[in-house]
Formats: sequence, C-alpha cells, structure tokens
Amino acid sequence: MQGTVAIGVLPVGGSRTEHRSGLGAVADEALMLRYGGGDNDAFEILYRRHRAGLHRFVRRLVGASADEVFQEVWLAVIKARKRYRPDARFVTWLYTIAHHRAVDRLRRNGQWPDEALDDEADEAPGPFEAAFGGELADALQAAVQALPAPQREAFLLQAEAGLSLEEIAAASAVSRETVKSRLRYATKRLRAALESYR
Amino acid sequence: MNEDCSDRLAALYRAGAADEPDLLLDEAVLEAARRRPLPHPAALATIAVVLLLAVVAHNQPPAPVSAAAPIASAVPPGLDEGRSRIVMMSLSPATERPGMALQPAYYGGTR
Repeated sequence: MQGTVAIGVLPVGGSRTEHRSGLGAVADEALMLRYGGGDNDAFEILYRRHRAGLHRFVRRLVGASADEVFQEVWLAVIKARKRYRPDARFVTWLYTIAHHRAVDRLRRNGQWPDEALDDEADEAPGPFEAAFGGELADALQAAVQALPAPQREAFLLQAEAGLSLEEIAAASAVSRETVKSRLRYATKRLRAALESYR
Repeated sequence: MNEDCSDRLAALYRAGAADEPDLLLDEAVLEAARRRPLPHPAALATIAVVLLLAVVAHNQPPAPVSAAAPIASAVPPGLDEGRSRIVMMSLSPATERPGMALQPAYYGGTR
C-alpha cells in the first residue's frame, strides 16, 4: 500500500508529498540533509525532481543496463545520506556518482576509451545520416547516441543536468579544458548531423 | 565553441527527450529509501550476547539442594506415580537394564 502512495506522487507537477510536506520550494541540498535526518518525504521530492533526467543520462550512456545503473546511483545516494555534506550542488554530486557507475560499466564492456584515445581520436563522421528520415528532434537524439562516449557524457551533463563547465569537469574527473574540448567536438558533430534540416 | 549553438542544441535535445524510468523502478528506489538502516554490527552483537546469556540462565539447573534437606523433597509434590518412576529411571543407568528401559510403562501415560 505504501508503494502505491509513493508511485502516486511521481508524475511531474505539484505532488501530494510536496504539497503535504511544504518542501516544494526547498533546495536539493537542504532536502538531502533533511533526508539524512530521517525525512523520507524529502527524498521523494528529490527523487521526483531528478529521476527522469538521470535515467535519460544513464540510458544514453550505458544503453541496455541503464535500469541497473540508475538503481545503483540512487542506492549510493541512499547509503550516503548520513555523511552527505553540501560542498557542491546536489545535482553535481548526483551526476558524479552516475558518471562513475556508468563509466565502470562502459569500461567493463570496452566501450569507454583510454585517456590517450580521448577527444580528437573520433573525427570521422558517424552514422547520423541513418536518422535523417525522422523529425529533427529524433535525428538529434540519434546523433547524440552516436557520439563517442566521453563527448556524449559531456553533452548530456550540460543538456540534461544543466551543469556548468566546472561542474562537468568535477563530475567526470577531467580538466575544464578537456570538457570544453569534448563539448566543442560534440557540438560540431551534432551540427553536422542536423545540417540537412536547414 | 559556439555557446549559442550549444544552448540551442541542448534545448532541442531536451524537447525531444521525454522518456522516463519505469514505475517499478521508481517503486524499488523509493522502497529502498524508506527502509531504515540496520543497527550497527556492534549493537547486534551486544543483543546476541544478552539473548544468549538469558537463554543459558533460563536453562541452568536449580541451585544445589543443601545437604540437610531430605532427598524426597527433590520430587515435587503432586507428581503422579508414573512420572515419579520416570524421574527415578532417569537417575539409574539405563544400560544396566536395557530390557526395562524399553518398557512403555516407564514412559508414563499408560497407567
């Protein structure tokens, strides 16, 4: 029964939990601290805010094992609730965990390049043309999916999580310059993929 | 990097990204979040030791009867004769009388 109630508050918009607890306007970091203090409503609101974006981020990065990685990320958040300190934005912390879990998974599958092979190694045009029969947004989704994993991650951290360059650098444990480079290549490739829609 | 282009791409991407996690996945995460953490292992060990001591104390034989007390008082009054005989049998080495040990009459309830 409890589970039914929890599901009932998930859709986007003012949730019952948010309304009941009056936590709707509370910042992520404060919600996480409240959850650490035992307030489960705070976690539900936090989860509802970030579930969709985080799931898309993970799914676009790791594909089929997205649900598993998604769950691992939230379980790590739950586990860390007592020792959470708002040194950075909650969303940066959340996507840092997601980055580590996703990259671990990709490395195991040989889908994450070594540092030496990063960025410029992938200049050849990808299979974007295959997606051009669909709508523009669909083509972009396909183009994002076709980006090399590090560029895809940088783009998603910016587009999906709304992180700044510095935050992306912190989340993915690389320099700001590397992030800039990845985003530059990603943008270049995505623009090229959408050229025919002009 | 063209910031404007990058922003427009991000906006376009967000407009086309509507998929969400499965509700069962939501339920699993929220259920995990609601679960209270287990007590510390040290606390669990303490509880186990206390329980063990309680069980041992409960099963310990009564304090030794003083030498001055009559032996008959070891058998509580009110026990029927059959049960008394079982008590007496258990005090005797059964191996000395293997045939008798198998007699059902000595296990009570047949009289």
